[in-house]
Amino acid sequence: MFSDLWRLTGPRTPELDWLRDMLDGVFPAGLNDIRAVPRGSFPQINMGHTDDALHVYVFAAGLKPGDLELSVQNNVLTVSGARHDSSDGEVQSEGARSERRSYFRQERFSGEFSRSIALPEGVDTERAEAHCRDGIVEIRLPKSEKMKPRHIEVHAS
Amino acid sequence: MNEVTRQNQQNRDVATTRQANEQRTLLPAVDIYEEDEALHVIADMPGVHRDALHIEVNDNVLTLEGEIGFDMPEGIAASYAEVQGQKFSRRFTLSQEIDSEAIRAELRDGVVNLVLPKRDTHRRRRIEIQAA
Repeated sequence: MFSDLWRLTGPRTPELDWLRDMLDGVFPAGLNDIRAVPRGSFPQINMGHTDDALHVYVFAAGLKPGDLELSVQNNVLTVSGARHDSSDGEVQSEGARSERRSYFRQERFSGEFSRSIALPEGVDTERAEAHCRDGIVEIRLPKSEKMKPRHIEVHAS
Repeated sequence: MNEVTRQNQQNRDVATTRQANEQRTLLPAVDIYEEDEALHVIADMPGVHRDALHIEVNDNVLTLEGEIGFDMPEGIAASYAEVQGQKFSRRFTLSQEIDSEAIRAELRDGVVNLVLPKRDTHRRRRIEIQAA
């Protein structure tokens, strides 16, 4: 069990930190996840945590609250919905749209989407709440009591 | 042992935050299409508020810039980030046919809608065929 104790002695090598920094830059965190997606998937998702909650940010430009469906099952958060061309006014079929207009670039996502992301253990999905502003949907999932960091007092013996 | 894991975890967090603090510029996805009287540019810029959006035309170059600003709680640590940057920026060169004075822009739910009208002299005209 204590065979790892050598790691605690001596200074940490800066070279190793540098290497890890570099690799973190090349391979973004979460790439190994089974639900990892290639770059440019829609919508993009950022996740962060504070001491008492997990915050998920969905970068869903052009979506109104009604266009987006959020669901949580077994600690997997699923974001689904559809985005259609907003300037059209009414929803048109893909064929009619491209026929009418000559596009020089068409990089923006259009159509139906569904993305899932695994949440860490111990979030209280019952008390989750979501807000939408400027094309970003923020989902706040409170951590359950046992997952919050606890301060441990050290008593002199 | 736990101490070591904890330290690594903290280091990882610091690394992600430091990356985010650098000014990284993202390229917004755009759609560009042409109609008879105007060119249309639609750009996805989620998180950009009206006040943080700058659109300018200088020397026939159209610049589209926006700072991403959304409220994040104090002391948040990133655990996963697909969007790494604070700013969207993209430039396009316009041709002479665009009437830069008459460009209109609209921002709704993080989507910028630009209409670049063509000058009257460059509009497509239907040519009447007269019976001889």
